Amino acid sequence: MKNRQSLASLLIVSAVIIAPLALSPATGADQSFRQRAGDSKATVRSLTADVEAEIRFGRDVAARIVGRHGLYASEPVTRYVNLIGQAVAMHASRPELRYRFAVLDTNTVNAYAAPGGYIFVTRGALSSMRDEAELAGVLAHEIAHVTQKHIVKELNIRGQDDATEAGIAHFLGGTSDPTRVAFSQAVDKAMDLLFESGLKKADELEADRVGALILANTGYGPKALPRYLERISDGRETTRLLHATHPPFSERLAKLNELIRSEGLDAMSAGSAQKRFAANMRTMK
Amino acid sequence: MSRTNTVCLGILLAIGGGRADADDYHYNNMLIGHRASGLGGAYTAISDDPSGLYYNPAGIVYAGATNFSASVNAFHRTQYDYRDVVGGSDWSRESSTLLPNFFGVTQPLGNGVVGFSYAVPDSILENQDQLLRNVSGSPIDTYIININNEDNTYKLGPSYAISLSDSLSIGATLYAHIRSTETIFSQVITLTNEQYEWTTSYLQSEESGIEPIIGLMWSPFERLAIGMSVRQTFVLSSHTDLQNVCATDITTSACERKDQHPSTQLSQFDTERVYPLQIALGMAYFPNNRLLLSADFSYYAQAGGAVNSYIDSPFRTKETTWNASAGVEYYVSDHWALRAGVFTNRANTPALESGRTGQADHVDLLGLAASVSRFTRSSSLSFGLAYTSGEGEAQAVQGIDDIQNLEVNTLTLFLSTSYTY
Repeated sequence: MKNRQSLASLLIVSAVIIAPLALSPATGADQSFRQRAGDSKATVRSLTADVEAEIRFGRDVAARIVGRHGLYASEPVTRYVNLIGQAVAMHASRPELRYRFAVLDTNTVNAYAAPGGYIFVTRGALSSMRDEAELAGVLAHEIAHVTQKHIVKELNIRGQDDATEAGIAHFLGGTSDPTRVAFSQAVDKAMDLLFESGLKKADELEADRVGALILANTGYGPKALPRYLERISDGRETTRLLHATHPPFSERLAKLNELIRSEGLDAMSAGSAQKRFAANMRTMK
Repeated sequence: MSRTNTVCLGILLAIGGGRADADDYHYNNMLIGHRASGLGGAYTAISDDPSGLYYNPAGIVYAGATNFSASVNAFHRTQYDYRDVVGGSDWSRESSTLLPNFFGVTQPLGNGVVGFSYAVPDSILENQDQLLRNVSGSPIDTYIININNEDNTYKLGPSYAISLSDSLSIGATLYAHIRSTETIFSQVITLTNEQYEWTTSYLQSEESGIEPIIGLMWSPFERLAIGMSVRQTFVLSSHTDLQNVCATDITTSACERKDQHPSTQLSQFDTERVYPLQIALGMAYFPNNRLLLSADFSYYAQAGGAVNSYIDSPFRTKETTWNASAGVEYYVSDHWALRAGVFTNRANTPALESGRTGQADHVDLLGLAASVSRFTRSSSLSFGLAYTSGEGEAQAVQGIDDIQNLEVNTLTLFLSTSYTY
């Protein structure tokens, strides 16, 4: 009886303490001081394995994205987007990756980047663009997500540890292939990041910043990206998901414009290839 | 009653009275977890790997990897040496057990981290035979004591933790508590006048319940963490079978019959152990990514107090007590880490008083722990040991007010692995 009375008391006290805390909004914890010297030390060999794992992971995520929306079946448009994308990617880091670009068959306005260099832009996003520089700006933003490894870092995607000690540890611990289970769970989590919860605000702002610089290096006017963002920030239904998964556009625009000013890019004379863009988009419905 | 026969009778009562159990008189008998063990258990404010599921579940939100698992295999040895028990002879009790004493795994779920762990905070496996001949100063010709004793406590269950802010997290673990005891005791005494006493006892006990743990982790300043956990085991079901059989022709024996025919006593009872409320407070300082300092203080409220007419030690009142620990971790390179810790395992019993009988052992233990870990990119292998020692007092022979010196030594060797993926 004494046991049960004590248990009831503890449960009541716990509920009173925990309930308000549990209802509080969760935020990311900054406990980087807990990082130890022995945590996740990479070697040249493991870095190669990491890239292979990233590409394999990105391929799975890309397949899920295509499965969700389907590809826009227009060879000329797809070819054009790939040409622009490859040109932009040449000025980005991570030459070990082969970038691939595709158009998703949906009216929603958005673009996605899967790890390993798989970049998608929607038909709705293309319809909202007015020139090639805006397309390049959107692709540069997505390429920046890949170069900065936002999803890879968020989900801790990495290759298997083939060190002898790791094999011994697995043997003694009696585990079997936990990596495969974790890999499958991570693909689900990546889809959640892309379509539901969104990446971290800091990651999106970094992609804007890095993307603008890549765009300028490629020879397009860096103002194309804020110009495009401003146009689609009107809250139309087709941009609902974009707003839900990204920071407020006003903040993004302010940061981008500040960057362009501080880097002296506002005086940059660059073409937008409006006519070429219009010609290539002519076949699009 | 002669002194000689009193001794025989006393020893009979001692074992029949329930001495053959695991160490109910201390709360910190086995360290849990691969990293925590090397730090002497000073882990409440760290808890950022699967061991945290046991020490302070709030810490698992700070695990360095998305998915994390860890396991520990331990060899645990205890030795109790009661000095000058019978005719100047010592009585020793030894236990050795090799067991997986921890497994834990964590992974993200929703806004938090979910985990599952299994822990064995106490385990006794005792197979003892002791033979005393021509006990000095007594008419005892031969004294044989055989004990087979197994007493294991298991905890297993889920945990969940969430981060409430950059510096505050909360977590909870709900363990199922299972304790299983089986003791076979046999004692034969023959006197120089050829009288004898033979006793055998069998005790089998199953206990189940729950142990909720609530933890908080707070970082008031950069590089400093403060952790707190509150826990208590609640026994919801307990059942014990006790069988005593004895035969003797010693007229002063406690056996019911003294005509060489066996006396039997069969008992069953459902008395429930009452475990203490435990509050642990810890502090950890992370000056850089190679050095870590931590300290814990644990308070245990008074517990026990149930009355049982057959055996006493599992149910008697346990005093309020505390334990403390401190540890240091240092990475000599990116692939090797050394840990060392000091910790206490204080008795939850009062100091023995002269002139009284039936008093519980009272020994405060001081422990040292050390471990070395080898890291690869996604795994670690650790080897370590924990040693405790202490001297105190006991009444090995119940029913007599003699007080013996008791020396306790325990050693735990552990080999552990962890992976991130």
